[in-house]
Order: sequence, then structure tokens, then C-alpha cells
Amino acid sequence: MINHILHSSLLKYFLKRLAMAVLVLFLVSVIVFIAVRACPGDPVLSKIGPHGDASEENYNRVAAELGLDKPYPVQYFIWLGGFLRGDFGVSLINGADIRATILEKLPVTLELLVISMVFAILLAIVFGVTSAIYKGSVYDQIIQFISTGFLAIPAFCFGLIVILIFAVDLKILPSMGFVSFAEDPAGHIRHLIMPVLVMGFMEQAALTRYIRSEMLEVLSTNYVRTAKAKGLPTQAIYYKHAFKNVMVTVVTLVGMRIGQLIGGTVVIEQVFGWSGLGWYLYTSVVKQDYPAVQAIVLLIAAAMVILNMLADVLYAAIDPRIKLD
Amino acid sequence: MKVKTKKEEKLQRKKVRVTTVFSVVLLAVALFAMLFPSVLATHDPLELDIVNQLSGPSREHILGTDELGRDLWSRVVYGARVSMSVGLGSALLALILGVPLGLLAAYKGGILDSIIMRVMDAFSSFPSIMLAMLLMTVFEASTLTLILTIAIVSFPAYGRIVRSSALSIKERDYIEAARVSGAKPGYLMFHAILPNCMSGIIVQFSLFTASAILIEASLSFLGLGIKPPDPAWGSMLSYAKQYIDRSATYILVPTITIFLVVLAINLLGDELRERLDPTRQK
Amino acid sequence: MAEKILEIRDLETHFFSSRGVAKAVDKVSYSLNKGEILGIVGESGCGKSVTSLSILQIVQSPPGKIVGGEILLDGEDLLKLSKKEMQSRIRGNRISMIFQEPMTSLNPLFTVGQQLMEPLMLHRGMKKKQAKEEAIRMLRLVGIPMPERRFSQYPHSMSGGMRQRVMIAMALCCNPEVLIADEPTTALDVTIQAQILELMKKLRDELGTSIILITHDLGVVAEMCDRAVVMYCGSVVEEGTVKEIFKDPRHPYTRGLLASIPKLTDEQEELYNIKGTVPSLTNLPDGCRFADRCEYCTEQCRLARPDSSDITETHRVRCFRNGGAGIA
Repeated sequence: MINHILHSSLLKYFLKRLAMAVLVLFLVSVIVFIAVRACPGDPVLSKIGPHGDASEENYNRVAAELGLDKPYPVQYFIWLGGFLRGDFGVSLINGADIRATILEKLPVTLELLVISMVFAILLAIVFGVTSAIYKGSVYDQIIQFISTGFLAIPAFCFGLIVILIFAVDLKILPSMGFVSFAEDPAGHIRHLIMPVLVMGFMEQAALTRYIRSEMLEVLSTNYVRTAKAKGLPTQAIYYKHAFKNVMVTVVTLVGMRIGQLIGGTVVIEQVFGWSGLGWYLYTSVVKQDYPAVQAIVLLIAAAMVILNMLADVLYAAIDPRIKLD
Repeated sequence: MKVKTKKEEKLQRKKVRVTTVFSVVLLAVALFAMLFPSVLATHDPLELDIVNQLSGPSREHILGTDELGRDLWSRVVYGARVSMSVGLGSALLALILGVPLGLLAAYKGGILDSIIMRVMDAFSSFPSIMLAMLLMTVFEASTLTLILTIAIVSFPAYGRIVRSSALSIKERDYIEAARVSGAKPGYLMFHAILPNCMSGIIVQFSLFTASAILIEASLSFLGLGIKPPDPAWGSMLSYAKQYIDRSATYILVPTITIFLVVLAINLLGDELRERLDPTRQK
Repeated sequence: MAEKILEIRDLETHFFSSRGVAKAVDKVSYSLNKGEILGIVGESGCGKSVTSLSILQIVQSPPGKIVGGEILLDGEDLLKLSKKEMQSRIRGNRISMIFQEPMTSLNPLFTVGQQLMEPLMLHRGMKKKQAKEEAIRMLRLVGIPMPERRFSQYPHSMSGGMRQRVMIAMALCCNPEVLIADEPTTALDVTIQAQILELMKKLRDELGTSIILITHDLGVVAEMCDRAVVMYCGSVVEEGTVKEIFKDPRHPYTRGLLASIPKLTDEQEELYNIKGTVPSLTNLPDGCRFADRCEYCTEQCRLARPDSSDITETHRVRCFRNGGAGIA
């Protein structure tokens, strides 16, 4: 496999995808810039405040201070340049450094994301693979029914139901809030359970469907037929041959789904009262803290583009069949 | 050779599933609620009755009341107006935006194709909710802007589906034959290639309606959708959350409504997919 | 007197679907002698492949199911064995099979060597090192140059012909008594075809494997096979030595097949083909299945199905017109 990676065509593929990603990133930043500029409200007036000096002279001064007197393309490049250097600006609300706030909130969201995704993948592999193997059985029908069900409600609804059952009725888990691991490990885990359960089960529904159909397709291939004809035991056929072929596709799948999951954290953090990046974005939107909105959205979208690119390249590296031109 | 009688053949084709009947009936009710809410509702959705706040199902209020004593059933019925129109409207608008772009990209190929694809990639790099949130801060919240926002969020997927169908159809001989005999590009795209993509488009339309309703519910839950006191299923839940320990009904009513409607649409979509593309493995 | 290694008696394999029951294999009987190459001929859908999948019991189930008959390997009825016994003792071990599409019959994510070592380690109990040596030896035996290099390669870096050689190596590495080759050369170039067939003949001579060769190409049968079985619509319609089939075809279908081969020396302008179409397997006629397409069809042919009748010790046919009188 190492040989394969060093083979120049994979490198060419990587560079090609990188170039595409850069173009997409550029377009993404333009979209964010335009969207934020189009928001209602005048940042200059906000800065001046309701009691400040609203004279034309002062207005122009403050505008120049905020860099808003320059033509739009220039503003864009100044902003982009700052962003790439790591300078995300300061909050309109409290003047706090946006980058610092992001870094503070990021671990919370990352923890939720990673644990939920891992949980979802494990569930989906188990459900997807077994329901394909026992296709048509009652078990299969139940799994499919559950998946269909989960795809029919928004994450926050499921979250509320879970809170209703576990926190309100059964009173075994805390309904909201976040406690850091350092402070109280047991409490941290208790607060972690419901959000992870909610995000995990929601995500699993989509993954399971996909894994099931991939597994079914693999099971009907000629090479699985050969494995059977060779006299390989069923376990080896399912979990060695078939499974490997399915897992290769899961890599790209995860890359595609991460975006949805991130979107999910915005809502879930709101439901469970976790102050992570999603919650930060939401409050910035509500309070019209545009520099913060701009920075967070661009950061996340950029992360998505890069992740997708990496997933594509990784898939190409693993599957020796992919044509790399 | 024995030939099957006409009757036997007819019976075999018309196997109607229970789920399809359920879906059609439910969606008919939802559409009716969207168009004629006053017929289905028992109360004025804005009518207050504070004495009876947060009550469970009773003879007067069949699904109970919210924190201001407003009838939940009526609010859910009126809420259908927003959800159904946003759901259908945005799926339609996304179709109008995405399909021509996909066809164009597939047909012309080359640089135009790359540009269109990269633009669509750019829009789909944002998590849906996030892009929707961003756009809803730009626009003032109304049914129309919700439709526009969700359409912008969804159109890239249409474009991609149409593009990949069109690419495979483009190479077929009858397209080549039509082109050689002088058919104009517009004609080729819309009359020759498009009909073959229709099954994918129809199935995707149903899926998008469902996801649009989910996104709209999330947006109104976050307070970025239709503003109160107008009823919307999502925003009802954001209030219900505050009273979660006092009324389970308040949480369950909008949740089950959303669940049933989206489920019905998805089941119908699955059914369509099976009928339109019988080669698929289930 | 030829010794039978494999005998199929009244095998029935049906496919159940919402459209009805398709009797893909309807009371098929034939036998394979030790050391011989038996050809199974017939058009697509006649049941020749399903019969061989039934021998190994790897028919897609659902919707297929073996509903009756006996399959005797050296006297032992395979249909009475448990799944585990079929898997460990028979498949890949005493009976092997190779398929039509070499391009898709190997797992793309495992190397050729890994896939070759599997049956060796499983059925012959070899350790990794030993299995590797043996695998390389097999690759050399089937005529693959530089087998040590090929061992670590993935299937996609090999041509169709080479992949089929690998399949043959995999099938023969445990020295099976029977090799079933289902249209092994149909998907290959004509020149490669010849090479693969040569290889199979050579291996039969060296290893003594008995081969069932399924094909729709009578030319292949003439070149390779000692005996042949002609199948139509799920049944055997004629069975005999290759000489008998070609020189004295008794079943009208066999005659039709032979007449359909385009000959360079012919002065006819039109290609002969058998009129009519194959009946649907879910909707079979009461009488002889070939009745609608047969030139010699009589009333009797439409009313009942003919049984198999012997013409010589080795030649059997299933036709009313050959029950005694024969056709001119």
C-alpha cells in the first residue's frame, strides 16, 4: 500500500483535489462575506451607540476606524487576509477576541461531535451489516422501521423527548447543562449521555441505511460468490471479504455526513444547554454579532471543504481500483 | 402456452401497501389544513384562555392547551400552513434553480461544468442548518424568505442528481442522432435528456419536501422562523421546552405532528422510488 | 467400464418469486466419469449454470431452492450433508468451480496471493509460509510468468486471461476430484480462450481432475469434451459421447444447434436458426417443451413429456420420435 501511495498518480489526484478545494474555499468566503454584508443593521451606528455622536463627521470617523469606508472588494481582502493570519476580529457585543472565544468553545463541540459520530458509526455498522445478512427477516424489518422513524423527526424533537423521559419522568439524568471533566468526571459523563444518545441515534439512522445497502450490494457480487465456492466459512465471507469492501465506502460517507452532524450540534447545544461552538454561533446570530457569525461560519465551512477533500483522497488511497485521472 | 388472464395480471400490479394508504390520507389532511385551516380547527389559534393553561386533552381542547391557554390542536392545524407551504415551495424552487443548472453543466461540460459544480460545492459545504441560519439573518422572517432560504440550501443536491443522470444519458445514441440532425441545445436538454432524469427528480422532490419541513421546524425552534404569536410547529416546541416539567402533552403534540407528516412524505417517496426504478435492490 | 465420480439424479431446483415458480432445473440426471471432460451445452436460461450451482449448493436462496433429487459424489449424497460439511469438506476441496467473469470474480481489495492462500490454509491446513510457497507453485503451474511478483499484486493489475488463470489455480490448489467450469472462456478473447482451454486439458492430464465444462459454444465441446449433455428448458434432452452427438444427433434441438453453426463452406445465404422462442420457466407447457419449435412435432408431443430413452449404452435422448422409430 505504501508503494501505492508513493505512486505519482495518487499525488496528482491529491493536487487536483486540492486545487478544486481552494477554488471552493474562495467561493465559500465570498458567500459568507456577501451574506454578512447584506444583514440588516448598520455596524457603524451600533458602534456609536444610541447615545453617541451621530454627526456626519463622527460617523465617517468611526466608519474609517472599522474599515467600512473602503470599497467592498478591498474590505473582503482585508478581512480574508486577517482571517488567514488567524485574526478573526472582535465581538461587536463585548469586544472580546473572537478567536479566543472560538478556541474556548471548540473543545466542547469537538467532544460532542467525535463521541457521537463514533457511537453512530458503531451502531450503524452493527445494524447495517446484520440487517443485510438477515435481509427480509423480522429483525431487518424492525431495524429499517426504526431508521425510517428517526429520519422523520428533527434532532431537537428527539432531544426533547429524551429529556422528557429520562430527566423529567425517570429523573435519572440531568436535563441540561455542562460540567467539565476536570471539575467532576462523573457529572461530566452524566451530562454527556443524553446529547450523545440523541445525536448518535439520529446520525445512525442515515448511516445504517447506507451501510445496509452497500453490504447487500457487496453480498451479491461475483467475488463473494467465488469466496463461497472456495468453501470459506460464512463468518469469513461476511466479516473478512464483504465487510472490508463496505468499510472502504464508509470513509467517504463519514466525510459527507460530518457536515450534517455539525449542523446538528447547533441545535443540540441549544436544547441541552452546552456552551460550545454551535451555541456561540446561535447567540451571535441572535445578537447580531456579525464579525463573530462571519468567523464561525467561514471556519466551519472551510473545515468541511478540507475534510471532504481528505476523505476523497483517503478513499482513493485505500481502494486500489480508483482511476486517478 | 397458457396466458395469464387479464384479471390475474391486474391484481398483481395493483398491490397497494398499507403505508401508502396511510401516507396519502395523512398528506391529504395536511394539505387540507394548509388550505382550509378554519374548517379543521376547533378554536382560534390566537385565542387566549389562561385559566386553562397547560392542560392535557379534554373535551373542550382535544389536544390540550399551551402556556397561554391556546388550543394546541388548532395551533397545529394553522401551523400546517407554514410547514406545508414552506416544504412544497422550497422543494419546487430548489428544483427550478437546480435542474437547469445541472442540465447545463452536464450538457456543456468543460469549464462551465467545473464552475457550476464548484459553486454548488461551495453552497453545500455549509451544514444546512448553518447556511439557513445565516440566510435568515439576512432576510426578514416570512414564509417567502423561508422558502427562498431553504431552496438555496437544497438546490445543489438537485443539480448534482440531474447532472449525473444527464451525463450518462448524454452519451446515448439517440441523443447523438438528434444533435446531428440539427436539434437546438435547448430542445435537446429539455425534451430529450430531461425526461429521462424525471424519476430521480420526482423522488428527490419528495425527499426535499420532507427535509425542508425539518429544517423549517429547526429554524422556528431557534426563533429564526415565523415569529410568534403565529403558530409554527417548531416555535411551539421552543416554548414547550420551558414547560417541559409541567406538560408532556405540549411537547408531544407538535413532535408527533411533525413526525407523522414527514414520515408520510418519506414513505411516499420510498414507494415512488420503488415504482419508478424497479431495478433497485431494497 | 467408466467409473462415475459424480452422479446427479432427478435434481430439481426451483426459483420462487411473486410471478410464480420457475423450474430452472426440472428432474435433471447425468453423470460425470472419472478423468473425463463432460460438456454441458444449451442456450442461456436452460438451467446448465443453476445445475452446477446446485451441486455446490450455492444457489441464491432466496429465491432459489433445491427441492428434490440426489447428488452423489463417489457414492455420497451431497444433499444430505450439513452446511458445515459442504463448506469444509466439499467446496473448494473436493469440488471446485470457476466462473464466467474473471474480471469481477476476485476481491479487489485483497492481493492475488492472499486469496490463493485462503483455500490452502483452510482445506489443506497449511501454515502461512507453506501456503505462500504452494500458491506460487500453483501460479507457475497455470502458466503465469514471474509468479512471485504476481503473488503480491492486486487483481486489477492483471488482464482477464491472467485472472482466469488465477481462478483456475485457486480452484485446483486443493486437488479437487471435480472441477466445474461455467463458461470459463466466454468473456475472453479468442486467442486467450484457446490458451485457457489448453491449460485446462493439460491440468486434467496431469492432475486427473474430472471436469464439467459448461458452454454454449459447440466448437469448444468438439475440441475439449469426451462426452456431452444437451439441456433445454431445465431438462436434459440428449446425452452421449461427443462423436455420437455430432455425428448422430437425435433430438431435434441438438440438430437445430448443430445446424445453426455457420460454416464457411456452406452455400446457403441465410443463417439457420431455430424458429420460435424458449417458453417461460414459470409457465411451462404440458407436453414436450420443444414442441412449438420442433419440425417433427406430433399430437403426442403436445400432450405429455417424453421420458429419457436409451439409443446405445452411452447415448440417451428425450424424445417421442426417437423412442424406437427414430427420425430419418
